Amino acid sequence: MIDTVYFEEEVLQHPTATRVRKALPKANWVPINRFQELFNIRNQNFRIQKKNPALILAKKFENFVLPVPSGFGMNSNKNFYFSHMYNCLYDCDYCFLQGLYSSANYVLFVNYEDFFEHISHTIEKNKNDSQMFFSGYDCDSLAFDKISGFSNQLLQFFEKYQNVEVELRTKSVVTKSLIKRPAIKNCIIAFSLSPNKIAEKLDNKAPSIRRRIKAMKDLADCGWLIGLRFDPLIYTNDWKVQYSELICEIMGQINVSSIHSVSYGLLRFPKKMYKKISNLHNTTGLFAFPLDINNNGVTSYGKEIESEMYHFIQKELQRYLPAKKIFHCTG
Amino acid sequence: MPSEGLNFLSKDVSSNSCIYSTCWVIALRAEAAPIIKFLKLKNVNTQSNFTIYANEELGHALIISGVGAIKSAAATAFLKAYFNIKNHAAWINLGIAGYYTEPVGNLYQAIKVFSPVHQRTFFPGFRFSKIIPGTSLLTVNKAETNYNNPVLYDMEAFGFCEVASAFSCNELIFVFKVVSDTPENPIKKLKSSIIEDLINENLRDLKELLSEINKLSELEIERLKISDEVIEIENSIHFSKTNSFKFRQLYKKWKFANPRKTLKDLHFSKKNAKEIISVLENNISSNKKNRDYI
Repeated sequence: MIDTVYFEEEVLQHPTATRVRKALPKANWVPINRFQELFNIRNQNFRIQKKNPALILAKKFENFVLPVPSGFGMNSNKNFYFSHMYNCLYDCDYCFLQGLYSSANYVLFVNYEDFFEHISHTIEKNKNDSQMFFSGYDCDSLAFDKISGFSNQLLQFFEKYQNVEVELRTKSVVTKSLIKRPAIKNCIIAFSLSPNKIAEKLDNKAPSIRRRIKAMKDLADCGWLIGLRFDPLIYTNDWKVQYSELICEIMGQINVSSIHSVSYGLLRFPKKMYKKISNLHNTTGLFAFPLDINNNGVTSYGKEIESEMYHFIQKELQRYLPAKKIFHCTG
Repeated sequence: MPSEGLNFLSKDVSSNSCIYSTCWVIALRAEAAPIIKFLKLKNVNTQSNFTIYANEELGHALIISGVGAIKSAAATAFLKAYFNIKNHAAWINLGIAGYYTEPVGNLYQAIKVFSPVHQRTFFPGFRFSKIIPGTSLLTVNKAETNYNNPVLYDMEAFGFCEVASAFSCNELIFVFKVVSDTPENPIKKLKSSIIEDLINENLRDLKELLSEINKLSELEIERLKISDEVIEIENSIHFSKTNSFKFRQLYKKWKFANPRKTLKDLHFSKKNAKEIISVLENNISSNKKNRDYI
């Protein structure tokens, strides 16, 4: 459990901070000026810090809504993302956040109302285009929800915008609050998935694949639309068998009509980020693989493996789903 | 071998590492005495104004800094340079401090260290909240007698943090303080023997903290470890900085795929950096699809 909450003194009276205080009554509360003075310290050790991250409560002032990186979106003309939180409760070996941030501490931006205001403006500005908003790019959308209460407010907001889609991406099985309320047709609960053997080794602290599939099924049975996210695809010497079995198991449990979309993308990092992450994982097998660097400075498995995996996954998915629901992520 | 009862502090330190992996910076001899006794540290003749104690077997070194942030900073730098301490070492500032509330004698970890003079803050150390509570600390220029803020007051921690944080990662910089004076127990009453007692009474918690710090330090040793055979090759052949980085990265990958082999098994012919890197690259890439990396 979180033992220490650093808070910007300005946010202490905010309703989100009050909620967090109730959820973490035993935590040590320490005042700070701005979150950057703690989050951006030089010479932090992400791996050691990850053993006991603190929570930082902060106020966000800018960049509430951003366009998604190219190759990340799906059907919509305009795709945006927002991050009410930095960092994740889970500790997946391949996670890009450990290369993006120096700190493993969680930052929760308490001023949700400002996010919603900026999302409203974005929706209005792009009203002639189809739009999709992604939550869970810099954190897990649901894993911290018992403390943050974010998803409930988010869903109340998006209920008013039926023609705009929102995706909550997660590995969490904390779905009670969603199951208790009527499903919202423009909201997709998207689960990140890997074959069981891979997830057991790499998805540290995250719920097992079996539990994630059960959570998906429960949500689908309550009318929620489900997204399947096979990203990153991980190469092993028996990956074909593993991914084939995983896809078969999911399709055996989730009704195809409940599946909004499936996306997949290979393990990939910008060159600098890969260097930083692999330095943190001295002995992890995932980083012992001799990855290639392409002309765009992206580190990945290389063309041969990529092509083989893409074609196989695409073919496997098309056994169960129409091609229009399947998306290849490159961003 | 470490002395009996102190085995929990022993580390697997490879031959290319400095033997000292835990460094203490302590202001007063009375604060240091219980640690010197507990860790069986011996005086080192430094031929300088600084007094250093050390125990090679346990990998602990201790310097007595004197009172004040500047002296603490200088002593930290001196100890680092004197023993060529590596960047996997843990640094500990232990001492007494004033506190705004009773009781005297409690041990705290300072998790926020602020200097009103410099208007800067440090957030040192991995937090050990399961062992001792964490709190904020103000480093002041003269002994505090008003205790106006809900914090600890000391005279060294800021100077220590400023320098130590340049040597090791922030998670291995620790400030531990025992409450010595409070509004009801003012600082005037403090004697050396009382200070020694205050530290002695917290040795049990300190021992537990050391055991945990040892584990964190070992993680860093493991992460930063460079194999002896890599050092041997780099000492015998010229490697540019870029090539050295590349070689070390490739070596880790090659070793993962070939845990039982040594570099001698690769039979380099020309023995230059480029050839060694190229041989490693080819070796790793061949058969890469059939290895299980997970």
